[in-house]
Amino acid sequence: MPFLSAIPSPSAGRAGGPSTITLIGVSKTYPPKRQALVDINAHIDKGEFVFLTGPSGAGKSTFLRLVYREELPTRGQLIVAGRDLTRLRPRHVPYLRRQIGVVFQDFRLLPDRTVWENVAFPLVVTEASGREIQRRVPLLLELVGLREHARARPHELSGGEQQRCALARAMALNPPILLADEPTGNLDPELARGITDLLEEINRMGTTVVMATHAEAIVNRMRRRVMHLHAGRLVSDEDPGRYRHEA
Amino acid sequence: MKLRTWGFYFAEAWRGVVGNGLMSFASASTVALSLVALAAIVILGANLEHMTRMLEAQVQVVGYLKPDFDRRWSDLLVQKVRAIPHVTDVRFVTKEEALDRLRSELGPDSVLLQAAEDTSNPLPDTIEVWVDKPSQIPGVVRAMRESVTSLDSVDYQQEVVSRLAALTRAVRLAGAGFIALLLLAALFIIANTIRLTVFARRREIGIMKLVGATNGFIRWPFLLEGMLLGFVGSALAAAAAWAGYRWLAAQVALGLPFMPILRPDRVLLPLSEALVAFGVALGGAGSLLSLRRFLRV
Repeated sequence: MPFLSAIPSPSAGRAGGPSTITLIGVSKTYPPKRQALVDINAHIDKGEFVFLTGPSGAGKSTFLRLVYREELPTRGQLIVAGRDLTRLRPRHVPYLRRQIGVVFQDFRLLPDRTVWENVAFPLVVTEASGREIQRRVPLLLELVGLREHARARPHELSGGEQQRCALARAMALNPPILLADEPTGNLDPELARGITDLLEEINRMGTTVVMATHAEAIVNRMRRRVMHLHAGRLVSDEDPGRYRHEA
Repeated sequence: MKLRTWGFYFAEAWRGVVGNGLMSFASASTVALSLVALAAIVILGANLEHMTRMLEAQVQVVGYLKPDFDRRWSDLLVQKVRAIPHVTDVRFVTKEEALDRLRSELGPDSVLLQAAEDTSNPLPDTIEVWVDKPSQIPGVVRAMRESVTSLDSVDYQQEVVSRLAALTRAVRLAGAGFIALLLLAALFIIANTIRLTVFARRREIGIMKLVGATNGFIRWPFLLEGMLLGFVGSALAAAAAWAGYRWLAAQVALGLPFMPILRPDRVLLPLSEALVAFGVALGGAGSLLSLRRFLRV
């Protein structure tokens, strides 16, 4: 099982690097004709930390779903981790997914499995060796501070701990790209702080992080690149940026 | 593939079976019932065929000679009949031999025999004729009637043989239709059970897909679950066929000792193997049927 670690590539070019995301004229229309995204052009480079902001329904989640190829764009070209997603064959999708960690507002942990099993899950399903699993899971639990909770079930954890567990799972295969869809949406501010600190740490280790959020405080505190969506359009892209309330 | 991966597959399959206990039970039972019916029809068909073959191998034409037949001519008679085309063998049976045979078939206490021995032997001398194909029997009988003047009457079993053959065909045909329906039902109930498991675990499948499990990987536990259900059902069916046919064979041996039936152990072993293989295949096919739509990325 090759661990696709974020090897620093000398030139993460405009498109094609293992940890870059490039959108060229990307639109997504849901039938009958709800326009979720309209003509998005953007490039996210290796090692960046990007906030995706905008009101509910602005297209943040759709943006992320396109990146991990849960959906295909209606128009335009999308290049993620060196792959042209509009041409990626369905049977190659799993290999793209191994390059992208994803966390959600609702954590999506498996309730009938322990923290350890949840974190080990991506390793098991991608057929990592037992030794690799034994080596890697403690490191991941250490990273997110859940070492003592390895045997707990998700319902025995607080919301913040559940999200940490989800983060450890997302990082299990050491993906060069991490997507977070409202990861702090269900958490108190102080727990949210813990999660964003963790995301920053993951980013410092070289992972490209894209976080969709409408947590104004977090965005303004962290002073990172901000891509603001409104009604499916990319209305501003500033680095560093601040939270915008209006289009 | 790695051993631990198989461990994971089996653990997942087991989760599925136990997680939907009632449906698992229902589908294994349906498989069992369908396969028991299949086994019954296969056993019946095999026995009918066996009987047909036995009858064909027996004397096919018996010529009864007139009471005044002079035994000095018996060799000549045999030669004459042997010369008829399609005749493979001819035997002259005296009335004394015939009585002995009857005695051994009926047992020494038969009232019928007593009667036969009290008077003079009522049986005629006979000539037994074997023919290469049952379809040639009428021609041979005609030729015998023309050339053997001392022939009183002729008896042959072509009717029985051809009726038995027709019955065998009918049983097979009707059985095939009936079985096809049952198997279809079993297939769909397995597919449905697996669909329930898939539905119950859609969350897990979603996460597997999210973290990059291939469809092949996701498919295996469900495939195994279906195969497991098929295995349990077919093992039950094999056990039922085993017990049922042994019992039946014992009853027949007691009640109808002349009835030529196949020995249980010779039928049951290959039948059980076939049933289990078939059940497992059926279970696998049922899972694939329900997964086909679901697993598109």
